[in-house]
Amino acid sequence: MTEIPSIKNAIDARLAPLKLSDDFAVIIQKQANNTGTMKKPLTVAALICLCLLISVPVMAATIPGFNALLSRVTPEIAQMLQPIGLVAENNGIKMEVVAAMNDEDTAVVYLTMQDLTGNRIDKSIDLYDYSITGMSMFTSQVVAYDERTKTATIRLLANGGSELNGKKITVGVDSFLSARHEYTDVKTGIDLTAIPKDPEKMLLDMNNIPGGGGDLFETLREKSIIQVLKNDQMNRPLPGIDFAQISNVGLVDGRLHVQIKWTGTGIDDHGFLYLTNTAGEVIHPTNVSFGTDAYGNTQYGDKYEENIFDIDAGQLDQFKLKGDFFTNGSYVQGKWRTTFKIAAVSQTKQADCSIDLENMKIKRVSISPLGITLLGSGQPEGPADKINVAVAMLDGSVRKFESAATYRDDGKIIIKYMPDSPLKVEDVRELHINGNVIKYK
Amino acid sequence: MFSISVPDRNTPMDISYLVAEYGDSLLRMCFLYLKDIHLAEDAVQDTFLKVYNNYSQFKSESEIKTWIMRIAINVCKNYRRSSWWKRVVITEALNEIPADTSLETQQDNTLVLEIMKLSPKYKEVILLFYYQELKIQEISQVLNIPESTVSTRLKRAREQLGTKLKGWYFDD
Repeated sequence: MTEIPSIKNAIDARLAPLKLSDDFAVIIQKQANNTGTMKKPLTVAALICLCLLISVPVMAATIPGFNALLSRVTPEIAQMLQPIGLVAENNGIKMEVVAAMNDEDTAVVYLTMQDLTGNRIDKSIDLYDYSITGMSMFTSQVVAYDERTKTATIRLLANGGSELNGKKITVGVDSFLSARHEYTDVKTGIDLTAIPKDPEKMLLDMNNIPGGGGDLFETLREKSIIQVLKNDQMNRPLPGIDFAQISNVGLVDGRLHVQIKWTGTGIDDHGFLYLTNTAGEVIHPTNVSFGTDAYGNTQYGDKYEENIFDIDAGQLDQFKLKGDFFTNGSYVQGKWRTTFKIAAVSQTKQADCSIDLENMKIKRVSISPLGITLLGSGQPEGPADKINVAVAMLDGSVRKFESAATYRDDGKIIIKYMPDSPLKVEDVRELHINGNVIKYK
Repeated sequence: MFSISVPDRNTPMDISYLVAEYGDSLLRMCFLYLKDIHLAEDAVQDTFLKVYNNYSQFKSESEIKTWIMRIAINVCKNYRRSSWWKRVVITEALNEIPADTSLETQQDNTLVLEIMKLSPKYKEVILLFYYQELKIQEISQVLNIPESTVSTRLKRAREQLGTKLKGWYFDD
């Protein structure tokens, strides 16, 4: 953990001549006093919505990519989208931004990637380095793949915001992965009845790790310093896997620890360990990523992954240790960029309300084709999925939501619940939030 | 999850303190981001003007640095988006800043050049993590992106830097 000060010191040493003048603070005060307060112009989202409703069918008829998208998604969904039809070509690969849509806080962009010269794009394509200016990304997902034309249609979901409506944004892709290989149900062959009970350990600073996950993760993070297995005390290969191995196993504080070492060169090699028994019970671990320095001390990094199973050691003889592992055979870099104006969704429904949840008060809800937005205040504990949100449609069906994101902005809390496909707003009958019902018709 | 909170703060602002505390490091960060001394100076000025005009919205001392960094990064991003943004030759930009010819300086020069070559999103996390010494969670707030994304970008940025600087500034 010595590189942090050295990089800072190196920058300060090389750029030492760069200094603000002694009277800089005075200049700021004078300028501030001479400048009126800037106010953002009022948005004209309603006008943009109206224009969009009129313009979509006309434009759609003239853009081949958009028409192709229409055949892949339901017509009512496609009618909500703004056709774009802008193409960028680089490295023999064509990217076309086909359609887009933005509401108060979320943007969806459909783009296609087509290999014009080879077979680098398949249905496992995974955008690796991509961006939309002014937004932070949530997810990218392949929604269709055309074998004949080697074209993948990808949906990007990003946090946008009404201030972006009518603004120019740039969608950029710099690299992607494909040729994904999956190795599932891999038997590690580790004898769980012969696990070392007092293995050699080392300390890990939970404030200096790239991440992790699992039920115990927050508990471990609160401890700040935890014990992990000393690395590289074994070198056990995994059958058929050439990019990972087990580098140590043992009991730490009564819990089973299994350490994975990532040995491959793939840019996105990853995998998951789990315990399973004959009754079909599956136990997933909490995992923590870390690296080590030249002296064998832990440091920020992800060369190793400590998997910690919260299971009574006496039960280990009933389980087998298995894993699923993933790698990609192709990593393609290039520069694909298109810039366009993004427009607002055509319909939203909003309602003021007063719903008290644990540590949070919801004051307003809105529904757009892109999902449900809860606006409130407070300090909600736990993830957004602890709030049960569902939409009852006029036809009696109930829509639930697979993903959610939470923002905090100027003391407000915004939670966005996103469906797999856009909501038909005019067909929403009721919104259910933890048993509270908001009726729309 | 993203988290930036700026409730009321009634204590008066000491702009001289904030400039003294953060000014030079902001100037250097903006230079590395924008690759232009004059743009960097303008960006720092814009940043402190925004800080001055909006200070009443702050919550606590501990969040000031995070909030100032967020403003600075957004100002830099806006500069890069503007139509008059130009391509600059990095080595020429760095040569405008005088330096001696010692081995240490050459080493520092290499580091600075490699950081300047990074794409903006990787440069942001490297500068905020290593130079401004913010935590992952704070960077997440500054950039308004999930902590996992910050970690991923840091990893990739380190990989890019590591190719040139392995065994130098990075141990792994």
